[in-house]
Amino acid sequence: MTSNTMAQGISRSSGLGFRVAFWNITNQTSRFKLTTNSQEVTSTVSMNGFGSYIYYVSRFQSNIFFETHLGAFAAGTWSYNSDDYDGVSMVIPLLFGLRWDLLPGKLPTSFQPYLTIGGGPYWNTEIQGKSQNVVENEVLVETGMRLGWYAGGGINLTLASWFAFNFDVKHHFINYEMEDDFSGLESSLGFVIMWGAKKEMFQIQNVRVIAQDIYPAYYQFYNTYPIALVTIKNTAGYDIEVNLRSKVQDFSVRPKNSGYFKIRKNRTRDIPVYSLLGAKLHNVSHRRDVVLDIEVEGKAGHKVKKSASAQVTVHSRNAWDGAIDKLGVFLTPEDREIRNYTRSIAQKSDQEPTVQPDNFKMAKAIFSDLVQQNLRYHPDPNIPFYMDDRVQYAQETLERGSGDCDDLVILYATLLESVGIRTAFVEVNDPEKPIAHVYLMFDTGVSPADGFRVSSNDKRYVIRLREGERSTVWIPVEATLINQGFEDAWRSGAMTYLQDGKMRNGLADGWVRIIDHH
Amino acid sequence: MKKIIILLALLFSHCLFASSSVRITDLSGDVKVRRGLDEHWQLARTGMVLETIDTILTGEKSRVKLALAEANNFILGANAILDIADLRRISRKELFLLITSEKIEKLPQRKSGGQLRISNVNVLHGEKKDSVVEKVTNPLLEQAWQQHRNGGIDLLEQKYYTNAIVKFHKTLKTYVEVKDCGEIYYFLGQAFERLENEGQALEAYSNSIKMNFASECIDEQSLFRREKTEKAIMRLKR
Repeated sequence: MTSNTMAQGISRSSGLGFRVAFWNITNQTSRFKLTTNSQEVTSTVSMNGFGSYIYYVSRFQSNIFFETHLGAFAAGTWSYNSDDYDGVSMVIPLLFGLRWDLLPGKLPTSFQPYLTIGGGPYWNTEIQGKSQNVVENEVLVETGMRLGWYAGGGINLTLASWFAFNFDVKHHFINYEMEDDFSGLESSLGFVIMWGAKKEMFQIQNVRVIAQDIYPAYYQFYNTYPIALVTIKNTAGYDIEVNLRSKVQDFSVRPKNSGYFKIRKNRTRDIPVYSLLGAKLHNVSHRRDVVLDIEVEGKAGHKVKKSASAQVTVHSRNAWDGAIDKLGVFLTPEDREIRNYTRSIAQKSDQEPTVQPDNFKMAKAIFSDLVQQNLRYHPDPNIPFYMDDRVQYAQETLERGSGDCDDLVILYATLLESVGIRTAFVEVNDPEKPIAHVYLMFDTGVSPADGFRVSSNDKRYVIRLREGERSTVWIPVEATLINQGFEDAWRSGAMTYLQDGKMRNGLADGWVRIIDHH
Repeated sequence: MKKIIILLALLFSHCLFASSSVRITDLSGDVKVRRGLDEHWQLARTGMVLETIDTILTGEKSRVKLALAEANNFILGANAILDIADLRRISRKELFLLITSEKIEKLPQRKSGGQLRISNVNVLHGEKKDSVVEKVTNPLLEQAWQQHRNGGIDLLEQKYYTNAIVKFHKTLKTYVEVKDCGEIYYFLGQAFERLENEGQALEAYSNSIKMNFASECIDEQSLFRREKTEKAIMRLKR
């Protein structure tokens, strides 16, 4: 027996049944009487209230059904050689009512008791006759129709989602003006064949993809940020719990469970979908569409599973959506090659004590070494119908020997961060220019009063005060001037900051932004 | 024809250039100019045109008169420093944005549920102790502070209130180490009061009083300024 037929009674939307029934419509006992004497044999047979129903049920709401019954019952007395009247009584009820299944579907049982109530017309016919002699017969026929009602109950034993045995008891309340009152108890036994939609525990109403584009560089982000929201409606008629299990095809190391969310009866709830993305994500060289598989498991005594899917785009490992706040994820200062590179520069650089702060001297030495690497500015390729930016990791830029502004910013910032120098990105989204620009600044670690150790001109540096910290002097550097030397790059960065940020009010207006990643 | 166009273009660009610059019309004593991001100062002379990114410095008993756009003049008194950018027109709205953006910059980064940073370390270790050479102090720190203060006072006295506020803010930010017994805050309060921004003025005066009650603030000037600040606070509270 499948779990979803448990305690469902009529587990589908419709059912057609047949029952044989007993109803003592004439208030007499069934009997057979045989009398013999020397002259004749007389016999009387009385049969009482046997009949049958065919019935149809259809789900109205949750555990409530419409039901329609058409029945036929007959009782009679037949005599042979007796003075008694022969008589037949028939009742044909056409009943309309409601049925209420008592147990919620979450109970793990295949029995479903129910209560019923309804009413309708009861057609009655009584025929009585007596043979006086061979030629004389007396026949009395009486017919009528009365409205009545019934109340009762029963039980279904569900054996399959399409078949159940049924036992039913009804008390009919009919007050005929005829001689007999048919009111009384009726019991029946039969079966029902069911079809139509099964009663659902929940419905998946919508799958809204939030992270339509998955950027490998932000993989940490997707562990805590939902990829999609699945809207689930509880249609069970009782509280249920729902767990979502999701997997991005080819990229998830294993399915990620959302944990069980309670959904109250008849309520709708958005359940977030998370995903565990694995190392394969870092090997994507070209953008591709993949399927997000979602399995929804509803639980309330038994479990029901449904599935849904959505399509998401996994971008290449170098793709960047242009959000400056996220550019920092391309920093890889802990890479062994990067640390070895900056360590070798530190060993080569000037160890003579000077008035210049250590951070400043180190930053200058790193930049000078990059100049010697003969790095060049090189723009990103134009990809038709594809607006994403591309960012190279520091190691890639060193290997390729070129990059655009964000690549060179990432390279220089990574190298500075690898020796413990804090950096920040400066994004210039000039409303008068079609393309945004990014350069960086680094922290010399000296206080504004010691700014003279960097430059006697305070326009060449930026004093930054951050919450909970002391003010320090930061040096803006235009990384795209990688082929011209530190002095030019510094001068250009300082001038850009002064003109865009201060004189044109870019900082106050918000089109110049400084992004820290610490 | 091409030469004429180039000549007209140069002439036109010169007009634009001149319109955003200032000219030295008179000077006396030791007056120096620093161009843009240069490290070195050069002697100023009458008729010299200064650009927005330039800086002007006056020595003791010196002064310089600057001709601005729209026939305005500005006189920078003795022992003062001024960025030419400090003379640009700053509306109240721009001032509000500048002050607000500085406050926003001080705020910690927003911590959202979806942040990318993984924080699992409470305290970072590995600080390098400063060497003797690192502990160089600026011998001209006090003097530089005075030059900026004087530049701000000149702006205040010549009714460049918004510019004076920006200048005083910058001085406060740069010279955190200088114990001025609330002097800059006092002038900042005055500038806000002249702008009829009573809330900001009261805040500045209150900061001035707090700093003025420090143990080293017992000289005659500090006491006199404290008295004037208290009167200003009473006046504003009324």
